[in-house]
Amino acid sequence: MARARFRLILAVALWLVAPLGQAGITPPLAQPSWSQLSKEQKQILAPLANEWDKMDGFRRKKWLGISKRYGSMKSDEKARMQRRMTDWAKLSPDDRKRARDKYKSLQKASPETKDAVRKKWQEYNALPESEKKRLKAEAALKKASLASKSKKSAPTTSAIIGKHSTPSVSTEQTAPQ
Amino acid sequence: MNDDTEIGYKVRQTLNQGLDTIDNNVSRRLDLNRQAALENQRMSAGWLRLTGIGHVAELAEFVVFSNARTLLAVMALSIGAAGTYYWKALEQTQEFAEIDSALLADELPPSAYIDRGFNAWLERASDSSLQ
Repeated sequence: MARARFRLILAVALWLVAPLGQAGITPPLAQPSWSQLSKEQKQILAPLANEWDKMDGFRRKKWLGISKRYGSMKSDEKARMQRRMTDWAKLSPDDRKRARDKYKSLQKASPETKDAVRKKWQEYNALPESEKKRLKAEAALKKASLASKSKKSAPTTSAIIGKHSTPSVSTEQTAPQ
Repeated sequence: MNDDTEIGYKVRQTLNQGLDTIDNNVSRRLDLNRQAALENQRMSAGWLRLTGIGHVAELAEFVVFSNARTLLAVMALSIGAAGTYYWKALEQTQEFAEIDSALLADELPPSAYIDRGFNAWLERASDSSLQ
């Protein structure tokens, strides 16, 4: 009886501390510091020089993986990547997740759709700043009204799994960013 | 009740008479053993009162050893969970390295994917093309 109770208590305690254990007890992934990088790696990852030593092991490993792919890129792709590295690293994990998800879905679209989106982006960039601001405000308003609607409605299955009511806890908070 | 008292009185008398005739050696040994037993009783009572921490440690030891199999299973589970977390994180690292390198080198910049204004503009454009 006492043993069964002990096991039950232990199981409940473990269940409660399991997420903490995963995030806290797991030792950090050892990756090289900026000074330990090779000359070539430093050259590729130069835009991240100031951020590097503040990054956790998994992020460093991801960027080292990117630097490996860099060699097989065309010169214009290399230039684009280096230009965008700093801003990308400064984005929030949620924004990066959103960008990746949209990028992946666009990759599944037809080449015509991809071309159309590229053209639209150019057209959007040509819009006056006031118009862009208005569009952003409109999008924010729409998002807020959708969020309040999902709060007011009863938590049905579709609302729970729907993209607007899903808690914005990114998997990236415990994993590479 | 009176019978009991009488019997007790007689037993005491008999014992006292026996005590007078008991050998000195036996008497001394009995006395020594009595003193030793009393001393041990005092010591164990004092230990229980004064060393609460030791008592807790003993109890913990008992709990640990009597549940060794459960604890081993829990430890194995924890190691397994940590290993799974590590493996998943490493797998995700590789996946992100692949996506991010393609995304950053693409013609369409990352800002296009997160610009809510552009998103709204695209939605409006697709709505108007449908009408």
